[in-house]
Amino acid sequence: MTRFLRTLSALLIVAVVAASGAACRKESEALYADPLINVFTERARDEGLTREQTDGKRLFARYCATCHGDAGQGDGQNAYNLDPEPPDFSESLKLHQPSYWRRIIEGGSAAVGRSPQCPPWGRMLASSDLDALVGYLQVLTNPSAR
Amino acid sequence: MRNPQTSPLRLHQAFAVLGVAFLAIFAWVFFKEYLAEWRTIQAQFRRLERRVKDPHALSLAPPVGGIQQIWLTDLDRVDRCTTCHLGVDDPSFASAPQPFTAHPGAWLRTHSPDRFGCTVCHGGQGEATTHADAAHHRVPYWPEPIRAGELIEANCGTCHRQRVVPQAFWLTSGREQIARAGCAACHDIPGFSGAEVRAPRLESVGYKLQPAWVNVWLANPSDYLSQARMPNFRLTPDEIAGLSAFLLAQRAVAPLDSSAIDWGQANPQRGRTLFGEARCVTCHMVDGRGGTLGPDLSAVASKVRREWLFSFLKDPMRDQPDAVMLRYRFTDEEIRDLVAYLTTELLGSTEPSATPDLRYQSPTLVEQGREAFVRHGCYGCHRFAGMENLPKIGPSLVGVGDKPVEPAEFKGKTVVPTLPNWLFLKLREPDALLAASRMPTYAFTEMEAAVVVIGLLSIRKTELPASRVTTAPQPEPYQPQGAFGALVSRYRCLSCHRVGGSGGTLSTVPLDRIGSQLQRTYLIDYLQNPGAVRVGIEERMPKFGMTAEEARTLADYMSTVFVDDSLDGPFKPDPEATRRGERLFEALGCRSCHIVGGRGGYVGPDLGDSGRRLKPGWIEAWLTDPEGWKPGTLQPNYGLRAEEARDLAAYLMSLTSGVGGRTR
Amino acid sequence: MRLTWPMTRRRFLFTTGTGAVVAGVLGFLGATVRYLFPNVLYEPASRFPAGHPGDFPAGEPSFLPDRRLFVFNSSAGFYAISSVCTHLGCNVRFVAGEGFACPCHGSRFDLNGQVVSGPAPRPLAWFGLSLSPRGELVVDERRTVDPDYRFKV
Repeated sequence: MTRFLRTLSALLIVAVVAASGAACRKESEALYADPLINVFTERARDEGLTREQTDGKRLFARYCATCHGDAGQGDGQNAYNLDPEPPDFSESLKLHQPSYWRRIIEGGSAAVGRSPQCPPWGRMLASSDLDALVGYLQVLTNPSAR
Repeated sequence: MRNPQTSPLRLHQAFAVLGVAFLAIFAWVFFKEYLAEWRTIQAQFRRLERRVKDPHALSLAPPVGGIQQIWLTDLDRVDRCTTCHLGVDDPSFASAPQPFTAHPGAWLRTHSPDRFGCTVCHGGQGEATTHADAAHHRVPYWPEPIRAGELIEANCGTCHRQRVVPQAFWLTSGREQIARAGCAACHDIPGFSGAEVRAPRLESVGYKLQPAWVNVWLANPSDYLSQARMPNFRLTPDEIAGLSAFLLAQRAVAPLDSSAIDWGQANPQRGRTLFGEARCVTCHMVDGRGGTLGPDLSAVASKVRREWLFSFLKDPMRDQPDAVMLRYRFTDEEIRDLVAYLTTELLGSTEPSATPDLRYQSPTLVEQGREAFVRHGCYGCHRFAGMENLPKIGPSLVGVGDKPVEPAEFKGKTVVPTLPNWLFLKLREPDALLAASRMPTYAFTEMEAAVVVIGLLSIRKTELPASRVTTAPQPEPYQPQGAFGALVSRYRCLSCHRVGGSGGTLSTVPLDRIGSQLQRTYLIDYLQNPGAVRVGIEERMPKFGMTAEEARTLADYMSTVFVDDSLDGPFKPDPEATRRGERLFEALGCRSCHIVGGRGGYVGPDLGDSGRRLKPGWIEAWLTDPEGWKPGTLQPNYGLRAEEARDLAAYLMSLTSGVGGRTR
Repeated sequence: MRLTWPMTRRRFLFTTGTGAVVAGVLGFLGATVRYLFPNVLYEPASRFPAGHPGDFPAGEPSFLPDRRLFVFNSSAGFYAISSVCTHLGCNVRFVAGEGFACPCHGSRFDLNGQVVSGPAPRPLAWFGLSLSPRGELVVDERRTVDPDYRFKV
């Protein structure tokens, strides 16, 4: 009996020790710098834009800024060739919903009954690109949307 | 069983305690299984699902329980991420909290989870079913943590092997940076061939350079030009002395004789005008403005010798058989004035030294220089006779995205010891990680280094099935023969233009079907007197000073060989169609970007003389599918019907006035 | 060994210890049995999207060779019948107006997949359907259903 109890106890001790050892694995990583990721996070912080808004900004610079200006103030280098001249987004966009802006980007300004000067980009830009552009326009109208 | 009263009490106590502990362990096993993280999360998801979705939608899609997995047999990959990320493919969870958020963007439409799983793009440990083990953060001994933020684009590049991946901006920037920096000159990099690295040949460089400049340049190229393309090799003064002697001793081909030139007669002002007229700034930067195809000339007066420059402008291919530079048809007097302008007005900070440096006459110094030249792998960029078969000096970067790094390699830096950080530090400061690294120091900005890392991380070790990989077609080397070939070589057309995918990228229009796009008479005129078709564009074709005969040869060849038969349809002027086209032109707002009759925008080409310039079949085809002909174009696709495009073509063909046309 | 009250301290400790060990061993055996039924296996997904409902022409069966499956778009709703013959696993063929015929050993099934003749021991399997959030018809091979099953989108 005694020997039986002794053997059983010894086995149990081994089991308990093994189980608690497995439960205690934990790796602590000190507060190390991650310089590569920081390049991007710092940049995002400087610009104050989300990833989608950054995409939107890039698309805006490529497709829109020639006429609408870098900051959407209607002062692009081609603006003075247009009649009517493009509006200042910081004011004019507030008059309409984002879905209305999206319709213009997608189908051109003629699609909402305005002058045909702003061309339709819907066949060249993906739906996600349109989302990104609308997202960036929201930043232009309302800096707190950042 | 015998009477338990006889055994000692202590043993009974121990037995009872351990027995209960034993039971507790198995109770723990039991609860660990039935209170597994993923079960709790799935229960949360059920509650959320009932809130977010309407009962009808729920009844059509009964809840799925248990561990979910996507098995990609061809990649031998199992992803169980959807066990917890249950709303990932369901737009109704767009604003749900993680882990239930729907995948942003349209990515899952192009990369269906059934075919791509999750970790192919995101990295991480797909088989794990707990937050920690799935490598959401760095996990020791799991080589591929989830790629955070912009780094995810490295994984795009594993399958998308072409240089430009439109949806992956950082990856594309990284690959362009790798190509521009010339990494492939020293490293084997899949997708980059060393052939793209072009630096001047040096066999006759002794005639070209001023000795003082050589020393400044070798010590640190960015002391001469802040945007210098050559990196800093951290040479010792001895190495600089040797290399300088070696370079100045290289005198294989003497420059053309310029002893008859009367430099006293030179007129730098006329040279400056000529410099502008010939559009040298299309390729050369001067004081921060201009192209980057050729070297920056802002301080060229302190770099080259006058006699060499004269010879180079007369025949650039004399000592540079692969020169990007074309052979202008300048007269000797024009070259004299140009040289005078370049060597008297474009001064740098380094003073030309008056005393001749004759150390290149020392054979031991030259030999030391040659050794240094080989030791630093200079021949990787500067191809040199007799050194063609030397191996690339840097290690191969095949599979660099899977390179194992040890924490010890970070030499006590408080940096998370990951491969991306290792590469980043190495690029910024090559000897920061390994002492005595031979890699030169590039003047990469932090962002440039970061995108290069993304480009490098995309180069993985594992072979992928061909069905998973997208590559760009390999361009055929293009070498035209005969009179046309001689002119293409002389005027270096392929430095900027592409034919069959090979050639330069400065011009955005490939020449493959130019004969079907432009009229022969216009080509003849344009080649002799190139103007800007797009008013706002900086890069313009240089004015070669081509003869009428040469222009005719080129135009004839292009009009007969560079054609696309699908674009050559019959065209008959039709006043009715012209009127309809004109109405359409105004109704679509084409004038916002194009000038017609002196009025219009500057974004697209001036169309005032399109009837003398363009071919009608091309206009029609172009307007129906601009992106198909030129990916990334700014010409909008109006979804025109064939007859609308034909009417517009008829209208544009009627415009021959050129009023307000190419006046600049 | 009898449990009597009040018991001695030794007997109490012995009983507790033995009980716990027995319970633990039972738990261990239970865990072992549980281990025989894994949560997930390396196998093709048994739930898979078959395509958008509009992709299936009404009235005639669509055969999905990769999945060995017929999908029917009837006026009453969608249903999916396995094409695996219950005899030796050949792909059965659809015979318009009659049902299914196995080319290997001549088993015949009616339009509902019930055995009409031949060596096949069981009717063809019917699988449950659902709709994915992206609007695709999802077949669940783990869920077999009765031949009156129709899935209305």
